Amino acid sequence: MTKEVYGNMGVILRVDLTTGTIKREDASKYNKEWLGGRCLAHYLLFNEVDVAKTDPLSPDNKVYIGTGALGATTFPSSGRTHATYLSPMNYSGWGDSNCGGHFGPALKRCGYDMLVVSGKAEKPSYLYIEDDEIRIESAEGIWGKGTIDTQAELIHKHGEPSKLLCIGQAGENLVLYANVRTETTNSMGRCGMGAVFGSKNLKAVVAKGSKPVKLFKPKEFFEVTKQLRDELMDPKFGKVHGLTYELMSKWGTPGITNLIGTTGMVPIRNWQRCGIDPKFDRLVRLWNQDHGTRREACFACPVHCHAAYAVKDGKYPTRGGGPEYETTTALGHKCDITDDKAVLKLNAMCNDYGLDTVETGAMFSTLMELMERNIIDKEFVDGIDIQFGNGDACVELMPKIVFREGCGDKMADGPWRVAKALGETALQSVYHQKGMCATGVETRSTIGSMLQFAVSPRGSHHLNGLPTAEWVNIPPVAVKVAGYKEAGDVRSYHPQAKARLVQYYENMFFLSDSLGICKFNFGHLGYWHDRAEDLDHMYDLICKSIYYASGIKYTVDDLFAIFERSNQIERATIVMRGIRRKDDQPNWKCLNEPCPGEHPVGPIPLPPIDSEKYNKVLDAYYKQRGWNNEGIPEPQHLKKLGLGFVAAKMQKAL
Amino acid sequence: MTKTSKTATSEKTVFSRRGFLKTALPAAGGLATGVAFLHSTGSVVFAERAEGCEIAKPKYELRFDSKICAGCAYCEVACSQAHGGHADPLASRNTFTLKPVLGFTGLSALSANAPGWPQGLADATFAEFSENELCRQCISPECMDVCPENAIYVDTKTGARVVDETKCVGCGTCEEACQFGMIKVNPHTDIASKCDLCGGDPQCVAWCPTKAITFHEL
Repeated sequence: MTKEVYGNMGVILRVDLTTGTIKREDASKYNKEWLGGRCLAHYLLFNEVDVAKTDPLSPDNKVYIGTGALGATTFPSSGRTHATYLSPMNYSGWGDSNCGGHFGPALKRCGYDMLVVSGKAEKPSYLYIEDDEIRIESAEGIWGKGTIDTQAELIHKHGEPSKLLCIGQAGENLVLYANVRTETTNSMGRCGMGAVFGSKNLKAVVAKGSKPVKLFKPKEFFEVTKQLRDELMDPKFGKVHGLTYELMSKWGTPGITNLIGTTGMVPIRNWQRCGIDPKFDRLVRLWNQDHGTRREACFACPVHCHAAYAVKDGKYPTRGGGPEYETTTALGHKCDITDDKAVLKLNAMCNDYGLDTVETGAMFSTLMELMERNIIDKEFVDGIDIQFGNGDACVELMPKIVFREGCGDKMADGPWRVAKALGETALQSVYHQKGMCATGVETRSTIGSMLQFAVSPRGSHHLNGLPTAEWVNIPPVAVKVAGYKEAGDVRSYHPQAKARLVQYYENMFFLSDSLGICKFNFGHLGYWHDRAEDLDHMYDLICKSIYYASGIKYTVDDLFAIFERSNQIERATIVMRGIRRKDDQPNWKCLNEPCPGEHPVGPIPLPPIDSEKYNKVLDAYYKQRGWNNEGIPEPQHLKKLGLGFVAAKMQKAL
Repeated sequence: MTKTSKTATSEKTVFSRRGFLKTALPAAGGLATGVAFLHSTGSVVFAERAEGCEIAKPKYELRFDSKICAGCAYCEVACSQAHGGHADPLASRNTFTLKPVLGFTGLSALSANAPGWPQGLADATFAEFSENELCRQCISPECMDVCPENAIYVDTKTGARVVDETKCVGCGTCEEACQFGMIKVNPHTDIASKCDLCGGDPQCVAWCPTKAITFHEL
């Protein structure tokens, strides 16, 4: 570990909560092959955990929390933190979550590229990291508190430069969709990482760092990152690019709701309807206009897409951070709640309890639909009148879920498990893939998104590769990345076009997660998507940045080869846990019901997904990935990719 | 950053401004007089320097508006990279402090789930998110006064008080003297560092996405 390491810090910190042992491992040997962050975390998890059999809530599960080579620098939005673990929430068992804020840079400044937490503490504890000093401290006094109080007390105790990840009461009580929070606006939201923390008796991870991130070519790095920062903010860079910056910096993600709804992508009333509905206007921008108090940014980000708010009057005086598009659609649109004050209250509650707003919203909206269909009655929810549009009922029900009281105990396991216990007809109301409900996306709207949500290893989620060129509707870019003009047609079932499009974006999304930078700015939104060559320009600047930061030279193809390998690790893991072709099929609603709603692009109502055509796209996707007809990676193909160890472990488990 | 030539400070008498204020010497000359704002107490004291002790006034200053700041800390990391090359939090010349749970810190039971509006916070705007200490480039800079090596000089272009890194021995006397905490000895390099206004092109201003930090001619 004596050789000089640039960009990265060169150390993996391993903490075992059962034994209290703390180990440091040289990380630099992995950097060339696995970058860092998400890719490296996947590689380590696959190798070090019995991924086929381990119960995600057992001490044998490990959490890999990493930053990346560009993290904590002037590279725009270099404040992201990625975590990989086995998930208790979805039935595929794959867990990965990512958050912004300032925690990643704080951890990196302590001198670590990655933190690996294993085992289970005997008593509620938190992990304190200050440079070389690592302590497992008692969480007595903060266990049982919400994420706001927990942060306030720990920051008060350890000083303001300390940043932390923590869980609220939901994580402590092993609510399967509990999240991990940092600051007032950021969550590692999906896949139930909060429950994994809770199962380890781990309340928080505090990082307070003062070490420099050394750069290989500081002057060049400074210049190229300034160029990236300036271009991100440049209204003249491109029409879509400029508009994306303007809307995101001014209104954040909820402000683009009606743009997302253009193709009918915004779900309404538990995915019964979709598109643009003016009755939800208060959830788009007006809430911010009336109650927003300031903009908030993650570390080194020029966009400041987060907001803070304070509602001072009415039934629910509250204040907090956010909400994001995912929250306003989950707790608003999907539950048919139009009152912004109720949604802001629910958002603040979720954030303080440490609940994933997406799954919480889906839990409520699923119950509402089951009630509407007379599958459950009021008694099922302890007399609470959980009906579409009733925000008060959600406010009343949420604490029951968090503390697993009464009916809340079963609901703490999520909508898919609740419905499964009620039988097949009830499951028809759950808009999920692999047991995890969809984010704010109506997948019947765009065929690429349908494929992506269905094959996503962690269930129904857009951040695994929602094809940007398709949903932002920029056909020339879709043609460039997928090679077919049909790729950009939102309604096309062209097998190769859609398969390639999804593969491309799935791989691309590893880029940001593995470098410690924001997916919003580098792939997921409309930035760098005006012209086909804009993407090349972005890659050029990123590859230069990686070289100037770390001294490691990559071409775009080198990077995509790493991403392809990482994706294969995800697939091999879920295959080892029993996932097959049947689990890559769209959910019942997608296959059986049309979806009405107003939107300028695409048919009204949106027709159900054509199973036959969809399966041809799926065939093409499997072929593209080198998987067999059942979606199992071909061992020969894995070996060709340099993943002999994955093939061996997978074959042993099957 | 290129350093500009030094002003004639070789004859500067090293003295303590506090001692100077105590004795309250009358102004000996009719030239420029200094004004010192003692921010820590809130009172304003007008001080005049004895002849021969005058140093050029700063020509520019940085201002920070916490209500516009979004809390990205770009000012901090850009400062450290502009000066030290690496992203070294200790090399930053401003101290940026994020207050992620402002309004909650130090007050118990104020979680978002507590019923009603918390007492005493009804009028809070929650608009402030961060604090940022920037060097004031004092008219009577204590750091300069106490430096035993005379390693702090005035940049003629901006009037910034700048550390001559070839002279600084890292003794830390300046750090003790500055009541604003705006000069610090970097433990990684053993050299004192403070804001030098980047020779007139301050990088915290250049990188700040919300224009919360601004550069003003005085």
